[in-house]
Amino acid sequence: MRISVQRSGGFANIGARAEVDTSAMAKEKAAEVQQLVKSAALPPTPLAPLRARQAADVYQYEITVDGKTYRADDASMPEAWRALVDYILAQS
Amino acid sequence: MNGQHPICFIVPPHILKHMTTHPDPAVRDRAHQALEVAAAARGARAAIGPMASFLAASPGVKRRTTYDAQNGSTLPGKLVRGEGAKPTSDVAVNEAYDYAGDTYDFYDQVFGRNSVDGRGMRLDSSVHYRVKFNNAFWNGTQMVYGDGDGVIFVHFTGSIDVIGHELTHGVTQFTSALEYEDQSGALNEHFSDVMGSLVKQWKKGQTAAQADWLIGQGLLAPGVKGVALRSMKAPGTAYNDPKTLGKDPQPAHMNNYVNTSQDNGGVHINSGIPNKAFFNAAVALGGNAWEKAGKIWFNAFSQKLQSNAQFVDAANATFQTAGELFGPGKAEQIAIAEAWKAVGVNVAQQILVGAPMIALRPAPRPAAPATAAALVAPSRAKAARKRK
Repeated sequence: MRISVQRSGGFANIGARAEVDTSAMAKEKAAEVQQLVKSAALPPTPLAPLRARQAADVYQYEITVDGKTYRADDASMPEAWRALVDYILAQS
Repeated sequence: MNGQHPICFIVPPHILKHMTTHPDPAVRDRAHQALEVAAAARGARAAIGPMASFLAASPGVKRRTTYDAQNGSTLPGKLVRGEGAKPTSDVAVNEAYDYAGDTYDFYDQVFGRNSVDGRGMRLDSSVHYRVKFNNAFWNGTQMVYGDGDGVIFVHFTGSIDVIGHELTHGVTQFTSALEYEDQSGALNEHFSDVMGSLVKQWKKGQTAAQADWLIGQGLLAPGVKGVALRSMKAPGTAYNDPKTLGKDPQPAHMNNYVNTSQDNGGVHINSGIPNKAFFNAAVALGGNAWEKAGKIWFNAFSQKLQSNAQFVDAANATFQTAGELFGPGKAEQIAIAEAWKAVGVNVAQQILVGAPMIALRPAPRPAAPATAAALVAPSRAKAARKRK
């Protein structure tokens, strides 16, 4: 499973990007990532980006799992997605 | 109802009203809050009857509430300083409180605007959001500040223009509601940078010539190569540090407009173009930037722009506003058209040519630079004549 996270925006607009491939990870870590993806309960087909209409300067995220890209901002992202995003970005 | 404001239906409005004059600011604040929630629950303001005038009657009254998110992501967090309360031992709390107050005073005294919504809305701020969080944002109802990671950024409340910037997102939300993507989003960002910088200049008593025109000066951690996050005077030069931030990506001219899917279409990038136009206008008009250029921008952005406005709409609106405030064809109006033209955004020809200034002036000679007609690009002028 290949997962990448791209962050952009925010007041400072300093981007961040990280990517992992579970097949190249230690077994335990790979299981951790797979559990986070499962918990995130990403829909089978990406929906419209989750955006807080009146928010400004919030981070914008793109989460790509095996070629499918999900978009959400910091103000409207489900907590379970955030856990995944934080984990992946910490791998960079 | 949710359980957040249990007070609102227990205490009758006349008692709440009395509580708003209570000596304890925390009591006054809770009363205001309860009245607002009660009013919202009943729907339209008109339905409030005699209370409506009271709710509206907070002109010139600052109400600030500062919360501590305690490194969590739940907002607003724990109330730590209400209006009129003494400073706490927490620097971030005091900065959020003080600078929100300065921003309130700036809007009130310079533009006669009563808070973010024009009707005395309470200013809520939360500090210590999440852990080592490198951001500050407006979530649609309040300001939120991170502490920074100490490696790239220090705490975000340390810079008065950041707080002016965030609160101005609230002003935009209640006025033009500029859509937060592509050019309209870059204008939204631009207006926040303009007002953030003006709050700082006003507080310091600096003229346009004296101001540093930096956004987020003091936010970068020691060792990071840069002076701030953005420069309105010289977009693209605020930082250059390959190890941490990379290079400031802001363009200063339409020729370098950045097309990207990141950052909502580069709203924090392309804002450099109108930022430079504002700087050009402020310097050309001289004196205190908030008095002329700031007034023009405030009126144009709060009254004339639609939510999908593009850069050219902002140029047109500020040009027309300058004519309204200072007279058509006066130096102020010409300076606005020139300021935009210098960044590659031309005030629409029909507005330039149609402006009463043309009728007031003798036919401009081709070589005269300081007339509206001279600002029309020759090729476009020719094309327009052909169309006729």
